[in-house]
Parts: sequence; C-alpha cells; structure tokens
Amino acid sequence: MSTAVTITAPSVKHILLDSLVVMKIVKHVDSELHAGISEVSGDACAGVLTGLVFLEDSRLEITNCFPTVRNEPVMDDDANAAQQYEEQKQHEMLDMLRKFRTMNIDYEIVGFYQSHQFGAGFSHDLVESMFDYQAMGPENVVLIYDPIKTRQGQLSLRAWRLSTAALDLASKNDWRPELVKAAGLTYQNMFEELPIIIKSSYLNNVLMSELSLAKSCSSDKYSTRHFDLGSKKSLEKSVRAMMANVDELNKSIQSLTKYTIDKQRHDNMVFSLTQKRQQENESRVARGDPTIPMDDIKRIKAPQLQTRNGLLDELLASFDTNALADFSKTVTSENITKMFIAEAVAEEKVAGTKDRTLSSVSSTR
Amino acid sequence: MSRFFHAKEDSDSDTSSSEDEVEDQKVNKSAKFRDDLDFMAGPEEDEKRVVRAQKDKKFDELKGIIKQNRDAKSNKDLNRLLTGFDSLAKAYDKSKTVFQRQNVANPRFYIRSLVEIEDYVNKLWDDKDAKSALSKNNAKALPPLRQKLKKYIKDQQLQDLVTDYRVNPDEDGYETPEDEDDDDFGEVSESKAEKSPGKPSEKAAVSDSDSDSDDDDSSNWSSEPESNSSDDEDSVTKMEQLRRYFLKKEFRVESKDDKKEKKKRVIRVKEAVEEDDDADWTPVNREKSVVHFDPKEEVTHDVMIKKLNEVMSARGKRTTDRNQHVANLRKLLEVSEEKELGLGINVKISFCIISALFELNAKISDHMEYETFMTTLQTVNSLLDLLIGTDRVKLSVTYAEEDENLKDDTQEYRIQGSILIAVQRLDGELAKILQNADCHSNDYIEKLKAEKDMCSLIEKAEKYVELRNDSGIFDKHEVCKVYMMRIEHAYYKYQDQNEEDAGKLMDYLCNKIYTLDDEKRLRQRAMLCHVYYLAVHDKWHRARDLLLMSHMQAIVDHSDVDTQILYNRTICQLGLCAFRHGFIREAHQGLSEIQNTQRAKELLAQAVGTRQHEKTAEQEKIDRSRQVPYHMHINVELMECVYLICSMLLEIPHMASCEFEMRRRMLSRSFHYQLKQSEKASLTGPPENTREHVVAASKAMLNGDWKKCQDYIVNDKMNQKVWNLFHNAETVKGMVVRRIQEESLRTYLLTYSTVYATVSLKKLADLFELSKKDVHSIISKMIIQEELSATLDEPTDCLIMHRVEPSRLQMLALNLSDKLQTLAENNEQILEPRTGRGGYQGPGSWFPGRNERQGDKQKGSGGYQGERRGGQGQDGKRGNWGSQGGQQRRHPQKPRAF
Repeated sequence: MSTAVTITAPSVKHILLDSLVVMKIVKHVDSELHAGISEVSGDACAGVLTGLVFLEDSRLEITNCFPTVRNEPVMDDDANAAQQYEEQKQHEMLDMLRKFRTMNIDYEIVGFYQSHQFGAGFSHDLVESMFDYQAMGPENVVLIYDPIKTRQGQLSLRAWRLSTAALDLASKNDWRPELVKAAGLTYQNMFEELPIIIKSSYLNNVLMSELSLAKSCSSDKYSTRHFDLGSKKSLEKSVRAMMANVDELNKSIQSLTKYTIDKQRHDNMVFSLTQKRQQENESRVARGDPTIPMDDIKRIKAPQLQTRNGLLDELLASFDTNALADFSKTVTSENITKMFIAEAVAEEKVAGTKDRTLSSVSSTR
Repeated sequence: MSRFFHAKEDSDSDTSSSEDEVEDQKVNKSAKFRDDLDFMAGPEEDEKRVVRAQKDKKFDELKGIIKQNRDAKSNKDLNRLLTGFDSLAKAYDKSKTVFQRQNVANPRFYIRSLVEIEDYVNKLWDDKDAKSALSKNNAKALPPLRQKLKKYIKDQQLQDLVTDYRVNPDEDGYETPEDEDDDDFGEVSESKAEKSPGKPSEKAAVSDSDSDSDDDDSSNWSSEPESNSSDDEDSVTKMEQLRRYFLKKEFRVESKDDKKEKKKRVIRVKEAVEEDDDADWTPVNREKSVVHFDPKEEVTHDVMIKKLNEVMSARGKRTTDRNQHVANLRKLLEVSEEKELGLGINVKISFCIISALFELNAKISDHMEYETFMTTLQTVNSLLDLLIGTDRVKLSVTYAEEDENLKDDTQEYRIQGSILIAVQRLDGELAKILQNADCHSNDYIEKLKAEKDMCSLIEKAEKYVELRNDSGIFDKHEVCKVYMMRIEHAYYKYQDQNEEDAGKLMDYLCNKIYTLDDEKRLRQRAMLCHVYYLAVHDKWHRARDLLLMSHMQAIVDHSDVDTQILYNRTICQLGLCAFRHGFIREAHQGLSEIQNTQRAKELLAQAVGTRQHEKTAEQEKIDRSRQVPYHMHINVELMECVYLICSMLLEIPHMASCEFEMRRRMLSRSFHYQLKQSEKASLTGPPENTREHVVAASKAMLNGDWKKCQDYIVNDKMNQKVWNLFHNAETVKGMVVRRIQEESLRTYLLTYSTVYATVSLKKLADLFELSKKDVHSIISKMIIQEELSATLDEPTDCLIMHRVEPSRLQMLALNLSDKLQTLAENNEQILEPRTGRGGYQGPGSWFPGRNERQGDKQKGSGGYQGERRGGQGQDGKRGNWGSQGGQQRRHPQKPRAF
C-alpha cells in the first residue's frame, strides 16, 4: 500500500445505476452460485464497475460492468502462481477496458462489485481493495449484492465507500485503539452508504407497464408464493454467521481489555520513571552535573494490541454483526407479518379452526 | 508523716546498732526541715506536685554545678571556681522561677554551697601565704570571685539564710550532704503527693477537712486525712523505696570508716528491708483506715455528709484500695442507719456503695467477680426496694449536685443519680460474666442462675418506673432502656404454657418502646427482638410481616454492629420458623443469608473469627465483648441441617430439570459444594454427621428413591441431633417427609420423562405413597409451570409425555444468546477494567455466595457488616426478601391448589 496518498473527500451524493449493470451482476452471481463455484473457491464473486462521474449533479453513473476472473485454486504452494494470476487478471481487466473503449462504452473504472450473503462480508481484504480503489479515484464505490435476497424475491444492492476518517487510517494501515478513538471511528461511521437509483431505459419502462397490465400475468400477483416462509435455512445461516462474528468480537474485546490494562500499567510506570528522572536531573543541574537523558525510558516498549489489524477486525465484525442482525430482524418481522396474514386468510377459508402449524419460526423461546 | 519515720526506725534498729546514731540525726534533721518546708509550702501543695519532675531536674542541675565547684575548690582552681560560680548563679536564677512557682524556698544545699564557697574564698583572702602561693591565673580570679559572691548574696537577699545556716550549719562529716537534703525534699514532696492526688475539687475537700480538724482541736481528726491517704499498699511500697534509698546512703556514710564490712551490710540491710516489707506495714495501715467518728461528737447530718464527702474524695484515686473504700462506705451506712439520719443519707450512701462496687475492677473490659456481682445485685435490689417503698426520696440524674437534699426532713429528699443506670450496668456486667465463663461447665449454670435474679430485678425496676413515672425524675431514655432490658431478657426464651400471656407481655413491652423511643436504635432493636420472639413462638406470619414492615433489611447495613448481630439472629430464627411451618423457600432464603457465608458462627456472634492476622488485638477484644452469651445461642448445626434440607428440597428438582442446560443456575452454593465434595470422595461410607446425612439423602432423591431419602433424613441419629430440638418435632418431621415425597416425585418425573411415553397416575401414587389426588395436583402444577411437557389424560388416568426437541434454529439462537452474554460481560470489563478476580458481576449476582467471598477478600476486617454482605450481592439478596411477600401470597395455596 502506498504511503503517500492524498485523500480527497468524495463529492458524489448518489448513484445512478443502469439496469443493465443490475442484470449483469445478478446473472453473474446467480450463475456462479448455482454452479457452486463460490463455495469451492471460497471467494466472493466480483467484478469491475465502469461509468462516469457527474460532478455538477454530484452523481455517479454506473453504466456497465464486467466480472473479473476468478482465482483458480493454486495446487502447489507455488509462489509464482499467485503472482502470475494477478498479472493475468490485471491483463484481462485492461483488455476488457480497451474493448469497452473501442465499443464506445464508458471505460472509466468507478468501483467494483462483490456478492456477499446477507450483505455482510466486510473483510480486511475488502477494506484494502476499497482503499485501493478510492485512492485511485475518490468517487469510487463498492456495490454489495446479496444473492440470498434475490432468491427470496427481492433485490438487494447497496453501495458503500470508506468514510474519510477510515480512509485516513487505512492509508497509514494503522488501526491502533488510540488512533481509532481519536478519529472517532465506530462501526456505524466507518462506511458510508450511498443511495442508489436504478435507471431503466424508456423501452424497458414501457415493457414493464405493459406486462403489469397484461391479464395473463396478473394472477401471479396473488400467488401464495409470497406467503412462503422458506427463510429458515437462511436464518440459521445468518445466526451461524453472527455467532462467528460474535466470537471474533469476544476475542478482540478480550485482547483489548488486556491491552487497556497493560497500557495503563505501562503509562503509570513511564510516568513515575520520568518524574523520578526529572527530579534527579534537577538535582544534578543544581550540583552542576550533566543530566541523564530520558532515552532509556522512552525506549521501554509500549504494549501491543494482540490482534493483527488493531481495531479493524473488531470494527468489521461489529459491522457484519449489525448487518446480519438487520437481516434477521427484517426476515423475522416479515415472517411474523406473513403468518398473521396467513392466519387471517386461513380463517376466512376454513372458519373456526386455527392452524398453528405454520408457526414454526415463531416458536422460539 | 512522722509515723513513717518512727516505724522505719523501729525496723532499722534491729539491723545494726551502729547505724542508729546517724539514722536518728538524719531523721531529726529531715523532720525539722520538712516542718519548715511544710509551713512554707502549705497553701499550694497541689501545684507543686504537678511540676515536680521539673524541680528535680533543676535540682540535679544545680547539684552538678556544686559538685564541680567543690572539685575546683579542692584543686584550688579558682578560675574554674569562678566560672562555676557564675554558672551556678545563672542556673539558680533560671530555676528560681520554677522554685517560686512551686513555692520551694531557696534550697538549703544551695545556701550551703554558697556558704562553703564564701568561706573558702574568705579564708584564702585572709590567708596571705596561701594567696601568694596561688598561681597567677588563680590569683587573678580570686578578687572578682569574692566580690561577686558578696554582691550576689546581697543582691539576692540571701544574707538571712546564710546567717541562718551559719548559726545552724550542717555537720561537716557529710561527704555529700546536699544529696541528702534533696532526698528529704523529694520525700516531702512525694508524701505530699500521696496525700493529695486526684482532682482539685477533692483536694479542696481534703484541705477543708484539714482546717476543720484544726478548729476542732481533735487529734483523731487531724490524723484522719493522712491515714486515709496512706492506708494503701502502694504508698507503703513507695515509702519502702524511699527507705531503701536512705539505707543505701547510709552505707555510703559508713563506707568512710568501714569499707570492708560494707558488702555484708548491704546484704543484711537489704534482707532486713525485705523481711519487714509487708508484714510490718499492712496491719498498721488497716488499723488506722477504718472510718470512725469521734465518740464525743454527736453524729449529725452535716458531719455525716462531710464524712461521706471525705470518703468519696478518695474514690477513683490510684492509691485508694477499692475494697477498703467499699468497706468504709458500708461502715458509714451502718452508722447512719444506727443514728437514724434519714432515708436521704441512706440512699445516698447506698448509691455510693453501688458505684464503688462497680468500680472494683479498674478496667471496663474486665468482667466483675461473680461474688461482687451478687453483692452488687443485692445492694441494688435493696435500694430499689427502699425506693419503691417510699416516695419521699427522689433519685434522678436531672438534679445537680448542689440541689441535693439529704438532710431536710420536711422536704422530699433529692439525690443525684440513677438507679436505672445502675441496673443497666449490672445487666451489662452479667453479660460480661457469662461471656467469660466456660459455657460447658457447671460453673456457667451456676452463674446463669443470677440471670433469673437479674430478671426479677429488672422487673422490679420496671415496676418502680411505672410507679414513679409521673414524678418526672426519669429520663425518657432511661425508661426505654429498662423496657429494652426486659425485652432482651425475654425475647429468646420459649414459653410453652400460657403462651398467650407471654406474647401479650412482649407486645406490651415492645409497644412501650415503639411509643417512647425517639431515637431509632432502641426501636429497631425492640422490633427485631419482637420478630425473634414471634418466630420462636411459631407466629410466622406476624413475625414476617413485622420484619417486612420494619424495613430492617434496608437499613441494617447502616446500623451498629450489635443491631446487625441481632438482625442476623432474627433472620435465622425466622428461617427456622418458616421451616417449621413448611415454607421451604422462605426458610431457605432466610437461612442462606447467614449460611452461605461459611461463617455463620461469627455472624451470629457465637464465636470469634479465626482470622487473627487481619485483626488487631483491639478489634479482637471488641469482637469478644460482642459475643452472645452461650445460653442465647442459636444451634448452628441445626441451622445448617435445616438449611441443607431446604436446599435439597429446592435444588434437587431444579437440578433434574436443567440437567441439559449449558449454564446451571445454582440456588445454593454451599449445598452444591457439599454435593461435589461427596462426589469427589473415592469411597462414600455411611453418613456420619448431619451434613453427610443430608447429602446422602440428596443423592437418593436425585435418583428418585424417596424412601432411602426419607431414611437418611429421619432416623435416630437425626432425631437426636435435629428433630428433637424442635418443640413440635413430630409435625415438622411429618412435613419434611411429605415434602420429600413430593419433591422426589417431581425429580422422578423430570429425570425419567424421556424414558416414559405414558405413566399411569396410580402407579406414581403407589410408588411415592401419595394419594392420587396429590399426584394429580403436583403434575398439573408442573405442566402449568412448563417444567414438564406432558398432558394428563383423564379417561385413562395417564400422563402422556410430549417430546419436544428444540429446533436447530432454536438451539443456535440459544447458543448465540449465550455468546452475546459473554460479550456483554467482556464489554463491561472494558468500561471498568479491574485486575484480579473481581469483574463484572451482573449476571452472576443473583447468587450471593460468590460475591460474598470476594467481599471478604476485599474488606476482611470490615466488621460484621462487610462480612455479612460483601460486595454487590446484597442488592440481590435484599430483593429476595422483598419479593418474599409476593411468593408468600402464593404459597399458602400450595397444598390446596390442585
């Protein structure tokens, strides 16, 4: 990571997303999900976004995108292989951009997209690439796509970028508790979300309205599919993920506690030593002796936070947990609503008997 | 004073006849010297006494200089003599103020030294040969010295003294005559000191009597104060020391001529001194010490009062023999009764006797002798009788000493003092006596008999109070104390027959205090005693309501230690009461506050804690003084057993129900500890003590074997140790067995529900020897409380079990919630980082035990308060008691509900 990065505050306020991009992302992620590639490689589907920035409207238009090449699993621990892949990837990306240019499509990179279940996949790597992109162009964003939601009949796309404070810390790659505290960084303000407006072509819009008017399709509106509570699996998954995150949080909190105690002790020690030395020096000055330098005191090693990335992991874990909790909350509340509706419907159809078999989700203790 | 010298002479005379002469001279001289000193020092003796040490210092200083001067003289070093004289004059000047203040005249040795120097200088001056023989320096020093001397004597107006001395000089043979003089001095002042210790007011009394004696011209009288002051062994020993001092000096005198024999003599003389140490002295003193009146004189009120004052003036002095003091007072009382001087005097003297008796032992922490206690008790008793008998005597603390009316027949007698305080103090002494007696000996039982007398005395005092309460002679507080004393002697006693009356009495007494007492302390104590009493007498509901109404549990932490002890006792007794009534949960709550600490005895003040290293000797003493006398003890073993049984009845079903839960919540830590201990043991033999019995019973119950459980709880051994200690043993036993059956059934169902698909109620009823109705009710209750997922099938009389496994999502959610809990805990720790074991205690704090031990560590020496409820556990516990009311309301329905 380069150290000399000038951080310019982004001016973009919202994102205009072409429906083409949406379609492409969905297709890419869904096909991969179906093929189970992401589970094999353990990597998120990702791609590059292209478009242009409208500074006067403080708007970012994303007009096209393309997927990046997946890392092929490295068979041997060949150090060269990874590098080769990286080069290959880079090469393909440039190639694609060149083709875009020749086809008169916007070839300016404005960010990248990734798919994460429940929209919660913020890892250290992601932050690093976000920093890279944002360093490249201050208006760059990341689109997080949630394939699970799509399965449930909804589209979930969210645009994020690192806040200036987080960017600042990332540029130093220093997430020590003191600095984080000084920057006033919490998991809530680490990332900034940008509102997305999906723009379809007029032709598209016409088609949509025609479809909605067409009688043959309208019966679909009232299908019982909407009452499907098939979210048990995903809930389980999200709870599981949450547990993992909480574990992570626990670990980092413990190390933070230890660090605070150590730090306090260290500070006290240094303080008392300095004071003693100062007194001694004063008396030495009075006697006319040379003073003893404070170097050795300064050299006493301050305690280190026992995590790899300082507070970053903790922040990310909190952020993820938050996202997961949001997901669980919405799903459960939706489910409860559905159940009530279902109950009412059922009562109407079969008067008198209440069917509680649906209530499998609600029967949590 | 001369008496001493004569006596000494007597004793010395047999040691060596050769000493007699010297001795005589000395005695004469000192006597003479003393006389004129006495004359000069007369009016302000006491002040001199205060600064004696200072005077001695000055004397030493002067003497040192004189000694130097003498050396210089013998060396004919006039230069040194001159400087020596200067410093002497200076030192004397400085010390003059001291002497003046003490009214000491110019010390004779000083005069003598002056005279000696003067003589010497004059001699030199006159003797031309000697003068010429002097060295140059010395010759130079001689004239100024002479002049200075002359001038000094003139300036200081010492001529008279000098001439006096010249007329009557000291013997020349003395080597160190000034020492002796000083000793005379010291002795005089010392004997003065003996004569007049104590406060100035007493001083005045003595001098009063002195002057009186002068007026009366009665030889008996004049000897009185002296005999008073000197009838003590202390003074004897002091005189003895003085005498030794003298004797030693005598050797020194002797040593001049007879050095060889010196050693022998020393031994001999010393022996002699030791021989006649006490034997010779004491009888003389005793003889003289008795109070007596001049037979010729008529004993009137005034004389009597004077005499009483005189005797009382010796009170509290270090030199006063306390027994003698009491005897003197007794004598006075006799005389006064004989002469019929009236009740006023009698009461006054009696009261003085009582206080003198109390003062027989000097330290407040020591307990009174039992015999003394009994005499005191009798004295107080008779005085009380006397006071009850007549309403003409008013004894009150509100009177000032000047207001006292002892002699005027026509008015009421007014005397300062309070019989109630005496009674109270007597009560305290009894407690101390009992505390210090060996509680397992017959001696204790003997001493305990005094308790009955004490009770009747207190009752009498109460009667007296009620009789005279209108006359306004009592302090409100005093009256409260009397009632309180009665309560404190009654509250722990169980009265079997005519229980109604006893209860009424207690109500009456407590109500008195509730209405009378202004400060809260007595009221609180009375309330606690009341609760205790009610609990002892099985009035559970009243006792509990009273305790809850008093809000004691909220304020007890801020009250004094004695009240806290009483509170602890009350809580325990209440717990036992609840147990007798079958309110297991309440009993458990009540007892766990004390039992969970593992220091029940200490908290009940029935034993002193073993952790000496944390306590200073002082604290230990205080702790000891707080101990509850043995006959008031609550049986700790019984309490522990009851507590464990309660824990068993509550905990075992609970354990069975959450066997698979990840985090078990323990109701009683000490019970779990006991269980674990027995599990750890590689070989479990048959139970020995009560604790092991309960643990064995618990294990049996956990297996659902109620019969075995019952056998462990109710058997001969337990009968002896536990059940027979209840006054209604059979009912309690029946209750416990019944509870064991019920709880065993519950445990059985919870433990083995997985094995059964259906159970017939009849079979269960047979198995646990309960009626089918009871089984039905218990099971229904369990179903309602969602402890058991099952349904009752009426037609077939079966219990149908439902097996519900939690879904995976539910399990996950539970796991997650656990994890979140630890996360929250860790988070708290960040906010409040603490080193060591202490940490966030939020979720764990429903259970007091853990915190308690922490509290101990943190403030081990915090007295009873900190020990009983350390750390933050108290809120939880407080809540327990508070919520008890709610549970209670549910509770009575328990047996009937289903």
